[in-house]
Amino acid sequence: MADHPVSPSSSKTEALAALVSEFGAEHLPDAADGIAGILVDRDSWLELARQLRDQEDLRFDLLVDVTAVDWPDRQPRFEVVYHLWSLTHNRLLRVKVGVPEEQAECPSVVLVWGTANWHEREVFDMYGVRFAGHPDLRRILMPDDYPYHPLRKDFPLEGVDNSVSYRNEGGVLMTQELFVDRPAGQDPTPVDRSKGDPQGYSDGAAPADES
Amino acid sequence: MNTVREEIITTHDLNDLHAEHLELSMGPQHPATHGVLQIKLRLDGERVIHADPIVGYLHRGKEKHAEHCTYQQFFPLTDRLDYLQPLANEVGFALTVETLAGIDVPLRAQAIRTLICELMRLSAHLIWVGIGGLDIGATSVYFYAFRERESLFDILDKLTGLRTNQEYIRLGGVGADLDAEVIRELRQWIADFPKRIDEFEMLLSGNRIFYERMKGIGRITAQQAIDLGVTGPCLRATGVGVDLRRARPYLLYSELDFEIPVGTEGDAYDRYLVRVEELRQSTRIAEQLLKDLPSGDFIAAELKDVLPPKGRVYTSMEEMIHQFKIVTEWCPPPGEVYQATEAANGELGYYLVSTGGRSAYKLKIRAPSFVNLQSLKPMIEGGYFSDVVASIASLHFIMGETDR
Repeated sequence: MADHPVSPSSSKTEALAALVSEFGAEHLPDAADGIAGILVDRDSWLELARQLRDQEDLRFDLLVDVTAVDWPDRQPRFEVVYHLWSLTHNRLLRVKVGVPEEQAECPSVVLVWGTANWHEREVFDMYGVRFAGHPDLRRILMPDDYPYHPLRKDFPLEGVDNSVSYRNEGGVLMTQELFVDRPAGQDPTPVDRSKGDPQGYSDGAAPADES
Repeated sequence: MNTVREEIITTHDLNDLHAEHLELSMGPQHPATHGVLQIKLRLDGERVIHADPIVGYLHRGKEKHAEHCTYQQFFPLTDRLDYLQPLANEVGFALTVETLAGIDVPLRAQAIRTLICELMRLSAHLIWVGIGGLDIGATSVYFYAFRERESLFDILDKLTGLRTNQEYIRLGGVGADLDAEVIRELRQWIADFPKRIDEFEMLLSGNRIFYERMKGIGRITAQQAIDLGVTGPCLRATGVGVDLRRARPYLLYSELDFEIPVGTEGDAYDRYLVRVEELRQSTRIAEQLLKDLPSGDFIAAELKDVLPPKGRVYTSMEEMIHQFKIVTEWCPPPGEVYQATEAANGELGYYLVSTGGRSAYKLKIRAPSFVNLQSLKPMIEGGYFSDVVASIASLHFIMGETDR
C-alpha cells in the first residue's frame, strides 16, 4: 500500500490518458483538491467503468461515492458525479456523466462496483435520474410513494404538503388527495379532533398530566 | 400481514417442513438496531434467507439545508450526523471548506484538531464497546465504557462548554484554546485509559460466551468489502490495511507514530478486536500530541476568512463589523472539492460544489455508515436469526449519518 499522499497530478497517468482518448471522454479543469477529473459520455460510461476497474495501471477498485448535481440552466441538466479510489495505486479519480432532463437515464454500474446499488438508489430518490440496468431501483431515503425528487433545485426548502398533490388546470390550482389508491387497510385513519388533539394536547394548553 | 398469511396458507405443505417462510420486520423500533433501522427478514425456521435493510426513517434533508444556509451555519448540522463523534464531523467539513477557500490553519490549531479527532474516535469506540457488548448480552461492560465516556465528556465540557454536539471547530482553527487545566486533565485521562482497555478486554475478549457469539459470525471477505465500498474498521477487519490517516494524510497524521490494526477473518469478532486495538492506537496518538503541543494561535491570525476571537468582538467596533460580515456575507471562491477523513466508522467525505455564493451549491456527505450498511445483507443472509444482532452490533452504524 502506497504511503504517499495524493499529489495533484498523480491520477493523470498515461493509461488514463489513453483510455480518455479511446472513449472520447475529456479531462476536467484542475480542481482545488487536486483530484483529476474526466467527463464521460453516458453511452460509453459502463464500458469505461469496467476498464477503469480492471486495467492493471488504473485499478480503481473502490467506488467511494456517487452523487448528482442539478444545473437547471445548463444542458444537460444533471451531472452524475463518481469518486473512485484505487487502493493499489492510492489514486483518486472524479468521473462526471452528463444526463439530460428529458431522458434522465444513466447506465448503472452496479455490476462493476456493488456499492453503487444504494448510491444510485439515492441519486434516483433525490434527483429522479434513473439508472438503466439497476437491479432494484427503489427510493431509499424518502417514502416509496413520495411524489417528488427533493434535491432538485426547483423543489422548495420548506417542502410541499405531501398528502396533497397540486396541479395547474387552466390557471386554477387544483389539489388532489394522494394515496387514495392505497390497498385497503393502509388508508390514513381519520382522526377525531372534536375533543381536542388526539395526544391530549389542545391549542395553547399544557399537555395532560400522565400521572 | 394478510398477504403473508395467505402466502403461508397457499405454500403450506406438510411433507416439506421448509416450505413455510416467515416474513419478519425487525425494527425500526427494535432496541438492537441502533436507532431506526428496519430490516425486512425472510426466515426459513431459524435461518435468514433474505434480508432487506430499510433506511430513511431519520432523513432530515441536511444536504438540502446545506444549499440554503451559510457555511458557518452548517457546522451545527454536521454535529448531528454521527452524533457519537460530532467534532470529527466538524473537522471534516472545516477541512473541505478550507481546501476550497485556501485557508491556512496554524500548527497549534491543527494539533488540537488532530487530538480532538482521536478523542472522538475513543468516545465513539467506547460506545461501541458498551452498546456492542450489551447487544450480545454482556451487560457489565456497558457501565465500564460509559463511565469512561462520561469522564471524557467532563473534560470536553470544560474545553467547549458542552458535553456533546459541541460546535467547537471554526474555519481557520478552533473556537477556544486548550488551557493548562484541560491539558493536565486530558493527560491524566489518557494515562489511565490503557488500564481501562485492559478491563474491557478482560470482560469481553476472553469471555467464552462473547467469543462464541461473535466468532465466525457475519463474515465478509476483503473482496466483498471492497466491492461494497466498505471502509474503516470493518474493511480493516477483513485484512485490508487501509486507513485514510495513512493513505491520504490530513492534519498532522503524517508526523505521528501509530499502527493500523488489521484482522484476518472479517467476522464480528475481528471487527471487535480491530476496534479495541484502535482504542490503544488512538491513546498513543493523543499521548504524542499532548506531550509537546505546538505553541501559537488556535485560529488563523489573518482574519480575512475567519471569525475574530470573541474577546476582541466585544471590545472593538472593527472586529464586531468583521464578525458580522463573516457570519452573513462570507463566500468561498467557485470550485469543487472532495475531502475525506477517517472517521470512527470509515471514510467520511464531503463533496462540495460552490458557485461562489454564501451557501454551498451542492454538498454531498459521503457517510461511512450508509455505505457500510450495505454489507449487512451478505453478513446475515444464510446465518441464524439470533446472529443478526451480533452482525448489527459489530458493523456499528449510526442512523443519524446514514439517513442524513
